[in-house]
Order: sequence, then structure tokens, then C-alpha cells
Amino acid sequence: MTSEKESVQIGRQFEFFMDLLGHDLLNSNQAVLSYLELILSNPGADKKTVTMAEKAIAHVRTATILIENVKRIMGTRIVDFHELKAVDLTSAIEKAEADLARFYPDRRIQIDRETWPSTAMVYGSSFVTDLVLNVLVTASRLNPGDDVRMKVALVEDKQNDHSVWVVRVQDEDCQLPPFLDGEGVSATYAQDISLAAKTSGLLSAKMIAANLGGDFEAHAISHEPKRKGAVFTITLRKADQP
Amino acid sequence: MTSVLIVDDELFIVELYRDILQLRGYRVVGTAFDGEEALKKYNTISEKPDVIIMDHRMPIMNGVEATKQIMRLNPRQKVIFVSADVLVEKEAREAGAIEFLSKPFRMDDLIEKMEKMSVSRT
Repeated sequence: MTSEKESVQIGRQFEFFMDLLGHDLLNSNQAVLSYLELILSNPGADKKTVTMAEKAIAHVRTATILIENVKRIMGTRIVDFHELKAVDLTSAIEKAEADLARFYPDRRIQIDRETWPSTAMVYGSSFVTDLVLNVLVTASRLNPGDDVRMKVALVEDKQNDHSVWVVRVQDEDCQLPPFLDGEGVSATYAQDISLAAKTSGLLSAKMIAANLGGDFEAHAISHEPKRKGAVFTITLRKADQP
Repeated sequence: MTSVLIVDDELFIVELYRDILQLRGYRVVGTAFDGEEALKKYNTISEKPDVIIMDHRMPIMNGVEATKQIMRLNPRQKVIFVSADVLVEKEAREAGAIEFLSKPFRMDDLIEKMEKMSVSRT
């Protein structure tokens, strides 16, 4: 039998090796990304080559966020809620929006802000930007068009006696798979790993949000005659002080 | 022409930066594979680099410690910190780095920061 002390030690070793692997993968992504940039900057590159290089860049960016997700989930898993620092959710969303464009250099992505306070302090340290970015990237991935348009709203609410900030991301053209609609985000992952792999950004969002004391849900806007549009909702605990 | 010292423990990353920076008209005056080697090179090269590109996670001496020691030798040295460890940014800036890029970054972003530094140098 493994003692509790040994289990903790094994856990730490596991985190250490995961961190090392993630670090080396990010270094490899750096090289791939930079050489693709060189191809793009070559004036002799034809249109088809440029398009393929742009698509490859998008995949490198996606691979990067997946690696970061592993690191973030590991990080939030070991952080005690009381250790989390207060961060401004508006700044985190703005940063995520700016980062999003880099994931899809070959697409036009427009984000319209609806309800938008000047500040919205939540508990979450540096994990909040990654959480929002995961949702924006996955929402873009689920939109089949070249032009993506999303509405983002940020509203204050009260849930289970806790004050919260709610981020609502709405995309009218997003095609949310049925298994992700409603409460299924985490349940489906336990059932079918092949489905989980396709939209792991949402699972990461669910896990990171839960580890931060919040929640994440996805809902289709219309179901009939065809499932179309989606709303992604991130809920985070409100913090009073910066 | 802006001169650069590249510090990273991965040979393929050093070669990558060197190839691209040289193509973009920068002069690479040295390379080092850990913080201690960077410090030694910095002490021995007669012409100090305009910019040092510094990684963090390296054997023997990490990037934050190397930056601190280089800043003690020359508080005006410009260091761009590049790392896959985003959580080290605060430490890197406190050590003296004036810019921080999280890997993987676009080389255009690195060039932009270097050009900004060249402008501020003149």
C-alpha cells in the first residue's frame, strides 16, 4: 500500500515531469512557428503555400494552448482557493481577445462587447485569461465560417449566496455538438474520450473554472429545425479588493 | 547594426534565433547555453551586445540569476527575457529584464521589441 506521504511525493514528481515535458514541447512549437513565419515572409511563396503555412500556424497555436491547459489544470489543482489573487476580468478578457487573433491568422474574427463594466474583480490569478482564451478558441473552432462574429457580455450576479461575475460569449453561427449542450460538458468526457479530444478546450474551461470556485457551461441557442448558435457562460467568484 | 548575445540551452533554439536575426540584419556576437557561460562570455567579449536574449530554464545557472549578475556588471544592459515559464515574468523584470516574451512567440514580436530598443538607444 502506498502511504499518504508517498502519494504526495508521487504526485509532485508527476507534476514536475509534466511541467518538464510541457516546457520542451513549447520550445519545439517555438521552432515550428518561427520557421513557418519565415515561409510566410518569403516574397516568393505562392498563395497556396501561404494559406497552408497559415493553417499550420493555427495548429501550432492550438497545440500550444493544449500544452498550456495541461500546465494550468495541474497548477489550479494544487492551488488552494484562498491563495488565489484577485484579478480584473475585463483586462483578462481583453488579453484573451488579443491572443485569439493569433490562433486564426487566416480568419476574420470580430468580437462585439455588449454589457461591459469598467472593472470586474474575480478570484483567479493568472488562470483567468487562459480560461477565457480556451472558450474563445473553442468557440471559433466550432464556427465553420471564415468570418466569426461573437458577442461578449460581462454581468454581475448572485449564485448560491456568492456574488459572481458572469461572462457570456454568444456566437450565432457556432455549431455546438449535441454532447456539449447543457450539462454535458463534463459528463460526456467521461463517456467518450474521442469526443473529448475534439473539444478539450471546453473541458479545460470547465476544470479550470471549477478549480477557481466557479463554473462553465455551453448551450445551443436553437435546436429546431437545426442546432445553431451557442452561448458559453463562465461564472467566477467576485473579489472585492484588487 | 544592433548586436545580440543569445542565451538558451536548446541548440535548435539558439540556431533558430541566430538564423532569423542574421537574416533580419542583426549581428550575433555570441551564444551561450547556460547562465554561467553567458556571464563568462559577457565578461570576455570586448564589444558588449546591445541586446541579450535570455532564456530562463537552463542548467548550472538560470536566466533570472544570470540577468541579475549581468545587471550588476552593467546596469544599462538591455535584456529581453524569453521563456516558456510565464510565471517567471515578474522575477525576470525584477532582475532587470526590460521585455518579456512567452514561448512560443512570433519572431516579428521579438524584432519589434529589438527595434524599439534600437530607437531608444540612439
